[in-house]
Amino acid sequence: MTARDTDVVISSRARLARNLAEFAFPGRQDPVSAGKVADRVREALFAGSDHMARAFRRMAIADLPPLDRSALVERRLISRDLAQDGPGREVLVSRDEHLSIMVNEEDHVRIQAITPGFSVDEAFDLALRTVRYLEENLAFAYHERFGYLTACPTNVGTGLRVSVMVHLPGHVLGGAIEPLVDSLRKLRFAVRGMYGEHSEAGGALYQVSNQATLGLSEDEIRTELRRVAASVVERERTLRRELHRVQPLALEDRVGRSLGILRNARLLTAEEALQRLSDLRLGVALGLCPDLDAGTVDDLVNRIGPASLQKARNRDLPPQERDAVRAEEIRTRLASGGAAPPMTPTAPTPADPTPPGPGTPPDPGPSAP
Amino acid sequence: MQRGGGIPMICDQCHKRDATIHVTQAVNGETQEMNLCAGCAMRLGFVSAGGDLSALPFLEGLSFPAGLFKVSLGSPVKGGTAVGERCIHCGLTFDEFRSGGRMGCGRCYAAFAHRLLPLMKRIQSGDRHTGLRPTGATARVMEQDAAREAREAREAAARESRPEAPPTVKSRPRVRPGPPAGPPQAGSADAAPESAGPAEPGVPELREELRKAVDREDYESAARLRDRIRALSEPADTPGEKDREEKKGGQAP
Ligand SMILES: [Zn+2]
Ligand SMILES: [Zn+2]
Repeated sequence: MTARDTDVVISSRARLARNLAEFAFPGRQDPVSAGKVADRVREALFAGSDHMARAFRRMAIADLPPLDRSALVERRLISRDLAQDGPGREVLVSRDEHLSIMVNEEDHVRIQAITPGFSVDEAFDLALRTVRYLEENLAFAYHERFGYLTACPTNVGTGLRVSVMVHLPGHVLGGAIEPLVDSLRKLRFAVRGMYGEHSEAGGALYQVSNQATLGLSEDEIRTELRRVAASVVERERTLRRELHRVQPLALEDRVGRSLGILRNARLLTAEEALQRLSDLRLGVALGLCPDLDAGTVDDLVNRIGPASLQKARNRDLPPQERDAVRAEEIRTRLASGGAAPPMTPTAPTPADPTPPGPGTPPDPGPSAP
Repeated sequence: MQRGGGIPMICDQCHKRDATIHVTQAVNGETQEMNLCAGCAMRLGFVSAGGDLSALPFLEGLSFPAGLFKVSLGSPVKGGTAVGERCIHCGLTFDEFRSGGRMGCGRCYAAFAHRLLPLMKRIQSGDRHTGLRPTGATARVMEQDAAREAREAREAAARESRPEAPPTVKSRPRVRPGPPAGPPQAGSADAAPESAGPAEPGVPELREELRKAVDREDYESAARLRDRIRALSEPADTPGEKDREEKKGGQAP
């Protein structure tokens, strides 16, 4: 239907978990070891290559003020867990933010690649190239029977978690989320709400990911995920069409109201904004908002989190002021009635299909053993 | 595995193959249990130790009831093992894992392997890694480990190449002291005097071949070799009892 199925799939993600063979896992290592682990990972990434040093930005979590940490969490560059204080915690983020390497979270190394739209293989390739690059110089904990060893047995083996972030308003409005969660659980896939579980308030954003990491190869895992996600995409489209066919007025009214509120409101909570933007995204997919595109909506979703808003203003904002700033941000971007929406010149929208910038894909070539 | 039926275990010794043999070991009045694969059971001498063990299950799937074998073991149980359900590398106990849900270090997996396998069956799609093989530094370290293991196995085989030797087996007795780490010398064993010539391989060579067969999991050849070794070094009466009694004092820590 659309390139990379962006009408339903917002982004794809691959995560590989690894631990250094020499050290106890982060939950059981002393601060000195944690520091050594961070040093090793940094050396393995940067050694002998200015190119990599230019391609990545390193941030020690301890050096980051709370607001910066939250903003990284909102942009999904680090986990909520890593944002907490802990010895040796770092994140190495590629300049284009497609790739992040978390150090000393639950595992020593967690490599995460996020690519726009339905692009699981692209994300996986990026994560795998990075882990192979590191493995040239880092000996990871590995066991013949159990594969790559992780702190939690739910990640052992491949250490691979692949996921797609999907927009499922058709499932939500059609009451089909619960059955979806149940049926995917039986296939050992998880469906989790991105912002709150199974509620409209969450912006109908869900993450579908594999549960099993052992007993399947990496190829089997991502092939399965692709297959499962493709069927979710198809079902979502069917549900949307069906909703529109059965209740065209109700649906168009809903989209129109949300658009009106987003363009005119002076105070918007994050919750309401997410839900209204979800309606808008649905309207875009059904061709009800000809002057908007999904990328603009996704970009807005990324910008209206509390931390991102405050980070953009460069100061702490009390909650009510936040709502005002959020409404203003949305109003500005959706302004100008029928005209084309102002495109953001700075950050690439998640739907932007431009390839990763130079240097993002680590090139194992120059690393001499 | 003999209890409950069908719960697979990993060999406590190599942590690679399925354990098919359960060994109960009495050390200073304390009972220690070991689950071994057929290969490691042979390597550690359970197979050739005594006539009553000749029926050991060579092929996987068979097992013996716990407590059938009361054998003292000369060589210590090596790395990645749990003593009293505790990882000897990071100190994590299995109970701590159960309450916290996290392993302490990579070696915990080998240490608790037999407890983890049923868990994996439940929470994962299998209990065996079928994904990508290690590369780079990981692969290099694994090769080094494998080489060290092979060397240790060779040394263990060399130590055991004289089952009918007197109690103080630790230092190589009689013929020549020699470097302890050296490969088994042809002709140094009683069964293959120099005059016999190369036509008929001696016990040490056969043991070396046996070790190789076990390493490549060729248990059929291993069984044949074992029988030949036994035929060559068959003592008049069963040495098992004697060995057990005599080795009791010198157990491993
Ligand atoms: Zn074994
Ligand atoms: Zn441990």
